[in-house]
Amino acid sequence: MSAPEDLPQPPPDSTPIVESYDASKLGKLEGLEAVRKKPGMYIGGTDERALHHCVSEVLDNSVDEHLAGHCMTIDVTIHLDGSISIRDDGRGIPVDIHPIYGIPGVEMVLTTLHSGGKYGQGGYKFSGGTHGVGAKCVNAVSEWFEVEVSRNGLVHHMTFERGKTVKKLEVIGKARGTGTLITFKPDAEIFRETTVFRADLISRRLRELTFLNSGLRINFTDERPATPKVETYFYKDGVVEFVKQINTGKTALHPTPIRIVKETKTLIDGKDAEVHIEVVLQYNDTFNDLVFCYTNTVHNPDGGTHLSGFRSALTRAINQYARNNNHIKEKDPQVTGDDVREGLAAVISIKHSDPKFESQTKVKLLSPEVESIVGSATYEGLMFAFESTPAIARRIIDKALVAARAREAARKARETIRKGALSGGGLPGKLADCSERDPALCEVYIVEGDSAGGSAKQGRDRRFQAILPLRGKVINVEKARIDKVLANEEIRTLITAFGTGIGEVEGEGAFDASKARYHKIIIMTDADVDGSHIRTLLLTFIYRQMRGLIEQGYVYIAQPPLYRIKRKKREQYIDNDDQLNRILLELGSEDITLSRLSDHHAFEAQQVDRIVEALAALEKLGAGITRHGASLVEYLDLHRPDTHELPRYVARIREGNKESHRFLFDDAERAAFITEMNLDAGLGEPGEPTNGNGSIGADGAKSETPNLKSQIPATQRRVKIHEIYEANELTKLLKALAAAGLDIAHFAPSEEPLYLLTENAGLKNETKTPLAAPLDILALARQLGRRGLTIQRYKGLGEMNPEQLYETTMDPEKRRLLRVNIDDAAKADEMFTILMGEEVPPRRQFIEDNALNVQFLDV
Amino acid sequence: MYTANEKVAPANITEIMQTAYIEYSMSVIISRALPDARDGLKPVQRRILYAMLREGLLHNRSYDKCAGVVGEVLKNYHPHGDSSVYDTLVRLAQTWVMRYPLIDPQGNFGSVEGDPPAAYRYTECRLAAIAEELLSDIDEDTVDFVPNYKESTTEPTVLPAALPNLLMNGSTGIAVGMATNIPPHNLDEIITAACAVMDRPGISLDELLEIIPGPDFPTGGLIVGREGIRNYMTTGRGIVRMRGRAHTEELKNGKEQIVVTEIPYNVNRETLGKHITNLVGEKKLPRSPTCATSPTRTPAWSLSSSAASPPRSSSTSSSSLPSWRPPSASPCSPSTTAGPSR
Repeated sequence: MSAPEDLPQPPPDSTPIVESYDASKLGKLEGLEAVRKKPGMYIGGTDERALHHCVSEVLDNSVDEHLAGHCMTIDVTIHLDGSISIRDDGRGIPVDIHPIYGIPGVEMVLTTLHSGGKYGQGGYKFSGGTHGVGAKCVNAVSEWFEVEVSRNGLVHHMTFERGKTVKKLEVIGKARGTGTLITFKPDAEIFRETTVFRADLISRRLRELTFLNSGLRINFTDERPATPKVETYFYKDGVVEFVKQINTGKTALHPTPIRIVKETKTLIDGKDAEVHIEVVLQYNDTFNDLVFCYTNTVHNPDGGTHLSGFRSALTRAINQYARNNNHIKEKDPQVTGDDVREGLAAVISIKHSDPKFESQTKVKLLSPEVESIVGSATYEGLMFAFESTPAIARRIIDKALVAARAREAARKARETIRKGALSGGGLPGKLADCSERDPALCEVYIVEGDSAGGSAKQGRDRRFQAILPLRGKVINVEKARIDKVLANEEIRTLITAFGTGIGEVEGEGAFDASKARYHKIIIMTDADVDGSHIRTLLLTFIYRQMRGLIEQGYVYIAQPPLYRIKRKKREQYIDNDDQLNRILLELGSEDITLSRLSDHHAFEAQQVDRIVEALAALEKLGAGITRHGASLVEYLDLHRPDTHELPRYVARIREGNKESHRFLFDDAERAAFITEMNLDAGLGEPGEPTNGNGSIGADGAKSETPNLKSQIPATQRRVKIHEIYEANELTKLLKALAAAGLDIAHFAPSEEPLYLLTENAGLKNETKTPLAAPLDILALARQLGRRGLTIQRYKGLGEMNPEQLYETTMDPEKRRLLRVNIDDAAKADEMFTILMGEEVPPRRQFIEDNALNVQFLDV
Repeated sequence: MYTANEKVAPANITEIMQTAYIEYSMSVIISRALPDARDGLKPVQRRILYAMLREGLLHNRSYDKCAGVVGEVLKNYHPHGDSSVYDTLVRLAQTWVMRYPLIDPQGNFGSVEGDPPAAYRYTECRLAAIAEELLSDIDEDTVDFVPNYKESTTEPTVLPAALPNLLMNGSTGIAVGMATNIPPHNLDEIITAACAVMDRPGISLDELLEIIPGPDFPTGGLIVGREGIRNYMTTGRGIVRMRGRAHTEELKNGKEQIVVTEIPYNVNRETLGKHITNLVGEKKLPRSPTCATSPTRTPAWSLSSSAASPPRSSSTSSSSLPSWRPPSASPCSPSTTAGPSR
């Protein structure tokens, strides 16, 4: 036993190793500093979503004014400098000094946390912003924040920067009405990812708000593009139009949506609370359900008590009515909640004076009393609707029955799969599995056909890469019924290989992402158009039946190269045509020197590169002129020498079999031309369809005029005037070319050569080519680029050697994968319905609208 | 642990679907299923004809193996499956499908019964004379040439098409979001109509309808009602009802027999026969124990120049048969071949 003096003692004069943790180490964040330090807690993060949440917070305040009955119009404008302003014509934030706190009301609500008018003091009956943290948080995270309140006949103004007051409240003028104008610019220090507002996200939210608040008008202006975009949202029938819009592109089972409205008072914690309910639903003929829930116009994506009340009431009502009228027979399967929700499009909008949410971001409603209120209102309303229009009730019930039967069939089909799989030993024969057992490390490649499968199997890394070849095109799950889908061989191999089960129905065989056998599912189809098609079919299947895989981020898309070029020693893989053209030009301009013959001025290599690049862009944009049959060089030669401006219009004149062109600089010249040609008939405004002859050309240029027949009797003369939208861009390019030293006075070929192109200057095989026009430089550079170059185009993965395939697309060090994510579920759903669904006209419309965005047209 | 240094970029599913689908659908619409309005050919057909021209398979030279043609097309112009190329080639040669076949076949090229053609290692073919009219002057810088898929040679974007092939032979195709179904017409009538429009640009539709009464199917038959024709002439969309031609004959034992000499276009003769037999079995047609297609009857689609009823729907003109002759000297005057008779 050791003696006490042997116990280790700290040396007497050493300082303690651990610092003392006392009260001096605690801190308190004052006011809005808290918001800047922890933006996640107050506005939900610092990404694009949080950025737009700021706009919603400010908007919600204006909407609350509308709900209180004082605001009719809201104007939202995005400015060129990236700031956004929201103006409403409500009562205006109070500007008088607060009796207790001694600062103007508006300053208080914008700088002091947990202050506001929505704590039940009587200012607002319903409000979306319940916690009083909204606008001040936006103030805290803005580089600058200005508020202008029109009240009592005066306009009051205050400015803040990053939450701190820089200009106190002052009167800047007289006011004609009342309202609040808030302008703010998000702080790049907080929003590091992006501070650019997306007009599409904002306009979607604005449309949502006007749907849910009938009678509210919102004007939205985006000043950033060259021509500002202005949109107005106003719906008299609010929610009903919302539901109709959800069902665009699908056939509705009944023309008018069913609308259920109820207003009640209830007791919460001893206090009176008002609850207004509006439920609108309409069935369509698809198999998915889309229900949107709103509380005080705030979207609740995770639903809540209102959604569950609605769902149970819907199931009860349909079952009850069907039983009362003997629509359901004994042998029919039980109609469950999922069955009645097939093809349902509904919006539940409740206004509650004191709602309880799960968090500040209000994704889920927790107020318990709402469930029974919504439930009973829905049940009564539905029974009433069914009794008054039995035909519609019949259709809905039939659809639910069909869904129930299909579910039974699918369940039986799933059982056979399970039985087959279990008894057959599990994995499909075609799957070439990997040796690793841990799903988190494994990946499976889905390839097209056995030809590609062979290359992939030989080239892969067997430890963690598995290959699953699919034969032919996968069935389109959007158009086919689920039992047909489950009977399809390829689908069965996919399901067994993934191991997760499918569908959202609870029970055996249901989808469970945790059972995935691979955490990376990589779709590797050929680079041709049929590969694209198979990619869409696979994504449709995964989205509809195994959406959780995408949500978990397990689904990827591989990018195999399209070309392989080889020139002497340099070998490269190219992904698309654009890249190929660029590389050709690069290679072409490597060994050449350009000199001007007039003064023997030799261009430097960098200048040559810039010239070639600008010429290439010129040629590409010049398609806008050659499209109409006019000559690009003629057009370019018409530029004004000082400003480099180019004509904005081209007139195409067809007389008999001859065609000629006239370029017109501006509207004045165009008007003169029209009178000169003695043309009758009005000119259509750009954007309006003209009678039969209007067409949408490339880059969106519209031909403005119909057949204008001139009065000359002998020969038929037809004239069409087109606007050249590319004129501005071409002017910029001309300026760039001039800056690079190219003489741009003449683009048309001249008799004497103007330039000399020397290849391999100084070497044995030096060749000099005289060029008579600037654009020839481009053609020659391309040609030179192609010389000695072997281009191999991969039509399928099977064409590549296995090592090449591994190197370019499968090797984790070198490959570039795209991870598929769902940004906007509603838009994705719409896209799948349009592209892969039954209806043809929306698909055709979509193709017509987007046809000109095609990057390349495959053979 | 295997993928430590991986670079992954995010991609929105909506954008991926959009891009991929537009790529596919535009490709199918423009370079697969729909014909070009100028020469009436789909890209596969054009490539076959061009390849045959380059191989020197003209109508006055000897036949050569289809395998050679298919291989040539696959190698240089059409980087897809061989069965699609061969099936297209066979269709261009079938006389019950093409009003004016573009390919002259040798060997088993199938039948109207739906029999499959022989494999391409057995059959032989060459260009028909009429196809050479479509290809004439192609080397005189009449059409644009583009590089082929592997940049080794060039192919034409469209054929010079001295004849109106789109209306002459028609076309059917199913693309994405749209489809096409154009019936064949009589070449003489189309040429007459074209000349009339050139002479009198203000010609009215009624006058054109007198020149071209309607489609002219290679299998003959009747067209019931002119409204569909008028509709598609005016708007581009119309429904044309076809009907076969039948008559009765007395047999030696006093019984009557129905003889069908012409069947509607695109109908499989064998399934038609089976269908008729089924209807008889269900007592919907009068008792007739057998329904046979007798090869001794001159079927309307034979190539013999016997006095069989020529494939002229709903008329009895004596205009030319599938064996087509080059036009006479003045093609623009209403020629002596019978005009539109009712």
